[in-house]
Amino acid sequence: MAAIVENVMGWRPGGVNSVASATSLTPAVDYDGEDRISALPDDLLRSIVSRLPVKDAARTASLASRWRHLWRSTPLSLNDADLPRSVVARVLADHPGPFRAIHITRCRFASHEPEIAEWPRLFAANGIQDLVLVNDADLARFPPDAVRLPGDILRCASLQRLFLGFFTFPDTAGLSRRADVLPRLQELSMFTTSISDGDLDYMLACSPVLEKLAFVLTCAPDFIHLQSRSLRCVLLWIFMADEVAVVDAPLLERLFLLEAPRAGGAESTMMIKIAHAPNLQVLGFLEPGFHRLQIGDNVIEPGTEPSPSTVLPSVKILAFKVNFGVIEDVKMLVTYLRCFPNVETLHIESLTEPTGRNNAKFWQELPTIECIKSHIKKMVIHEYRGNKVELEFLKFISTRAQELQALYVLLNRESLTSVAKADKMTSKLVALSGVPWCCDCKMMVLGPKFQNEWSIQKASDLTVDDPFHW
Amino acid sequence: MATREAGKKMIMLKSPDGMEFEVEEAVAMESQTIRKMIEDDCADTAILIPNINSKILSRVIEYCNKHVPTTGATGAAASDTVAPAALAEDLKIWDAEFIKVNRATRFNLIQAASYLNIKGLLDLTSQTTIDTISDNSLEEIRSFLSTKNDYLPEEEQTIRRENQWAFQ
Repeated sequence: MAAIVENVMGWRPGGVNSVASATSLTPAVDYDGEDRISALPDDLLRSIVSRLPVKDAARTASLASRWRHLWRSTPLSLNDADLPRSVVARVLADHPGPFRAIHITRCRFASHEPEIAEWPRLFAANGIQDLVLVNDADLARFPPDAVRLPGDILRCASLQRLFLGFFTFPDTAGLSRRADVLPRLQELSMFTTSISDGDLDYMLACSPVLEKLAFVLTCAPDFIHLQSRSLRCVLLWIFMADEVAVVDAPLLERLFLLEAPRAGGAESTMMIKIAHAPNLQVLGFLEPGFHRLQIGDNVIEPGTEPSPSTVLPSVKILAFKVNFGVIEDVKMLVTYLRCFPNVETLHIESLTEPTGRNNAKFWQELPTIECIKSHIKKMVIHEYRGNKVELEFLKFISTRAQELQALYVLLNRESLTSVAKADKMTSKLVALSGVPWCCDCKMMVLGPKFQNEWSIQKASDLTVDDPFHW
Repeated sequence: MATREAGKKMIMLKSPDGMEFEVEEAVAMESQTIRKMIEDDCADTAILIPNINSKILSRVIEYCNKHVPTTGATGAAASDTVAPAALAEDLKIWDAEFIKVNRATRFNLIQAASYLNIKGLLDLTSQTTIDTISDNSLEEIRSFLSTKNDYLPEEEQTIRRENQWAFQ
């Protein structure tokens, strides 16, 4: 469980594993007999202590009198992976605080356990900044028992990052909505944690600096209405809702829809409404067969002609998942592409084995698509299998995209079963260079290890130019 | 001394032993301390860096030069052809080489990184000490750090009892 959570998050408190380690210790070579570390000022020693696993950190008090007071005067960083289960409560109670980062993933909270009632109060009283709280639920029973978090968690006014796993969000009905409830909260992530639409509205209204919101493997609420003056990045990853509406999010830059679940069969759809997101630059993966798109008041239907009220000109990076063998999906893809006239980077993941048709005629006869013709500079095909339908699409791109500078083709792992098959795929791609390209573009064919491994941290790192091609 | 590239603003850094280093402003601004001086307009001519000798300062500049984010036309081209993950891996290998220094230099670098507020360098230079303390016995840690146990036996017992859980 803890490993899954760490993979999903992509970070650990203290970030101890993010730094290059020097080669193994060689004290004999390095030894000059002088106690240099004791000469460092307290704040530097505390910064070292704060990055140690909690057991090692506490033990430093025994090294020498210079270290005596340091751990207890260093804000507490605790990962319960580093401790026996029975000790966690004692360490939390003993440390005088404040708490910097607490990471609990190995504790099974049933509602009768005292910890889940006490700890949020303790966290709030100790000015916690980073909190990861995952109920180590019994996965043999799915969905696991929902444990409702006490509302005291909302009193942690110094919280900057909150990650919750396998909980039910506290009931906020009746609480007054004020901007000073969570005045510092910048990141909120919920992993298999259900929250009602009202409670989500409450969180958005009460977190004036919330920039990053993530839902992973979650199926509630059914309706997400995003209304926030601070949100910059929203990640929905294996997330099932009927509707996601960006009602008013003037700073929103990125909206991720990753691995949309299609459990409900062919009829199930998810509505994506973009009412006001003037700064939206990154969007995807849109799935034409699954996502329905509404821009302003206009639902985008097959064949909808672009007009000022049906386009999102701010979007620069766009990603799709498409089955090129299903003509309805391909037509919808084209319709959607017309809604994003200024896209410069286009990602398309190719889905599942196609039917026999290759849609060559469709692509040849297709009228101009503005973004393809005049704006696309970089294009990435993910999960390329080397089918005719994919090739026809690439031909279309090569003959129409006048500004294209780089085309990346990332090969699907399962299609690379033999050397012969890989050869066949690449030779077909090479044959593409026989068609008259309309641009001066380089093409790169890359193996499966260049596929993205997603994590919340990666997706929400706003310094990364193209989050779909990390 | 590097030739000035067109459009790139240069900053002069002076060490207390009289050496001067001309660096790009973007490189110098890897240091949050220097960034603040520049942003507050306290840095029109040269910045004296107290307490950091020229040998350590030149290494700090070397680190900042390597870690300054590449931007602009050339930077964009570079990240288009090389996967960012590969770049990060290269940087990690470079870091591991960079930190192969003797202990005196390492502690000087920790202090410099702290004073100049360069988080990446502070993380890197502290990491060896963190590795030393993690998963070693107290005796081993003291020996590696040349720290003398100045506790009386009964004092040490008391302190140990306070944090008994950390020794289990």
